[in-house]
Amino acid sequence: MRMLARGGSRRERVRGRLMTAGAALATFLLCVAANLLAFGLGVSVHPEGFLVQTRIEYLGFFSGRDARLLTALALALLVVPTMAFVHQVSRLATATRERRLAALRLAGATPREVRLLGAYESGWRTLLGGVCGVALYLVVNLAVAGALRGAVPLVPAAQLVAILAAVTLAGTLSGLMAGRHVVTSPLGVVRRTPPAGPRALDLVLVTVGAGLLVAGFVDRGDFLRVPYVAVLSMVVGMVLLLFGLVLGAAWLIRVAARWAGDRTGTAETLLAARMVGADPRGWARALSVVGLTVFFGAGVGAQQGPILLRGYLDSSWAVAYLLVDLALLVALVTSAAALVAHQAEDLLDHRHSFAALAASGVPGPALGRVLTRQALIAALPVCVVSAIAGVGVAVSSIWDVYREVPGAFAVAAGGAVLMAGIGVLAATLVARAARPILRRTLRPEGLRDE
Amino acid sequence: MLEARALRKTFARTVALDGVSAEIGDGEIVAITGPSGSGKSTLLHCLAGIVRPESGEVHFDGRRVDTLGDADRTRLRRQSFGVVFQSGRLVPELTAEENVALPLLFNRHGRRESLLAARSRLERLDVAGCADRRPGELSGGQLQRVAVARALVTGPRVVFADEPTGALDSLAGERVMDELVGTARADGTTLVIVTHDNRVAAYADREIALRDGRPAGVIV
Repeated sequence: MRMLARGGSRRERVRGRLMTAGAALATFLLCVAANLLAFGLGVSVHPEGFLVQTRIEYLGFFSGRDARLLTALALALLVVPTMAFVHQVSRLATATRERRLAALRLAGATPREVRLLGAYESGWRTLLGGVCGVALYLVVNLAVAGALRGAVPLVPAAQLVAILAAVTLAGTLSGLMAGRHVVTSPLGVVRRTPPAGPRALDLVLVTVGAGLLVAGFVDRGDFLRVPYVAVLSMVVGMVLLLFGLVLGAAWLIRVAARWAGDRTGTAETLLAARMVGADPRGWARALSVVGLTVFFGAGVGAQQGPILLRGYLDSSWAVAYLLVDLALLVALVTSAAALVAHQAEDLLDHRHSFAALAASGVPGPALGRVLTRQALIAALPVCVVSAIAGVGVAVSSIWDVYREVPGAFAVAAGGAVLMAGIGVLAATLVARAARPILRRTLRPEGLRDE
Repeated sequence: MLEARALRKTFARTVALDGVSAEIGDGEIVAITGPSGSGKSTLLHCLAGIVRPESGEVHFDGRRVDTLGDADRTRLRRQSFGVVFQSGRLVPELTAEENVALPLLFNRHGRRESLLAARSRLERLDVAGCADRRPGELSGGQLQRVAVARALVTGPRVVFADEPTGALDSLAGERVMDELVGTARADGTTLVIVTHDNRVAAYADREIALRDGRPAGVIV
């Protein structure tokens, strides 16, 4: 750890703090989830002698046990993208410390030992973040308990320790796994996974999913005759379509990249399109969370439309929407980190050719535009298709409601355009975050042969 | 046309160049020679405006280069210089033709015009048959000739070649040097070659020898 940290730059310290912050958020979310499960179970007694349940009425929506369970589940699920964010930051750390890691290998460290150093670093960072998360939880808990006159119990110490241990373990494993994306040799760091094209198999899920969805939609009038078959068909279709979209995104990206590369008259777009077209599966993986976010965002928007238009928004819907929006926000931040990590690893492979282009007089900003256009070429088709699919699934599942509420279609379409736009905008803005990495790639040292 | 005066450049505590001066005329072919670590590549980078010396001056066509900002030096390289590197340094995802057309596209020429010019340049270097292949599908010699085509396609006044045959066997190296020097002479392009290979240096009109970052003599 000290070997990795020695001579660490400001950027590395920022990355370390991001890891700590991610772990703190994950720990806090888990503590709150555990807290929601802890009360209302008849185990807590107020110091003055009366049962905690008598105070739960102060909690409004959270007075109901089911509401608390669902909220706890949603918060626990939010931990997944948060820890994925920590993992992406670990990946980025490995991809951008090429010289230091190569020097360790030259000094005799084995690849496994280099990975262990990464695991040690992220383990230590997540432990620190976990402690901060627990501290934050205790402060918030005390404040809320005070405001609600003791209605909120404290999570038992053993559970807090278990949460802290789980987050630290996840962080350590994530650091160990992050190093597996690249191969660290004494001569430098290269990507482990070679660029790969899409697979025909990826399209099967999309086709079957869309087919089941359409079949269920067409058959929905016959619910009484064959109970739930249409509903089952639509649900299975939706799940398959969702997975199919993630896997099939490589096809979309390749088609879009070829189309753009064969038509463009600018060097930046040509370079971007050819680079994306050579590794569509890598881009599909990096954009999978963006696609899912747009899919769910557009779907939720389409589901919200009729409720908002009818004025049915009560506290339960409001809390549910708030949690969904929070989940979408965390997912977008995670996907942003995944994209930066992907571009950093991509630049590892292109550092020599990019440094040569810069030496030949290609301005740095022009190469920066290549990164932005890569993100645009890859994200645009994924976001558009995900938004259409999300709206399609939501509208088909509540078709009868849509027919009754005027203006609902317009709201759904607007939501789809908005979510696709947010997805594309996020991807292109994130590409700008990779520019400092690009600037380091363009230094004249990159011209030297290894 | 290209002049360096008392250049000094250090990397951490290592002195890469220590008071090196050189003068290169229009259309001249000059080899910068010396053992590893003698400062050959650093001198080439200073002359090409890729790095700035800590002291000393670099002039091109009477204009001082070392005091220009990064954007101006980049523009100068794009408009007046071409660079060939040891391993070609082509973009692996682009075809040979697209790689050669790239500098023209960055100069805002049209796609069709750029690809035609690239094809013509590849024909002159006898690698037109490789136009639709990617760098990974080319031999070392073919790859380097494509790199030469890329450096020459914009019609630069000066071509800088950093160990252009360093990664090639002697036969392929000879072929690349024949093409590079032949094309430079035909077009009247100034050529500055960094090499530690005497056979490559023999192609030059003049040799600037370096040792430990200092001039070790000029061999005519």
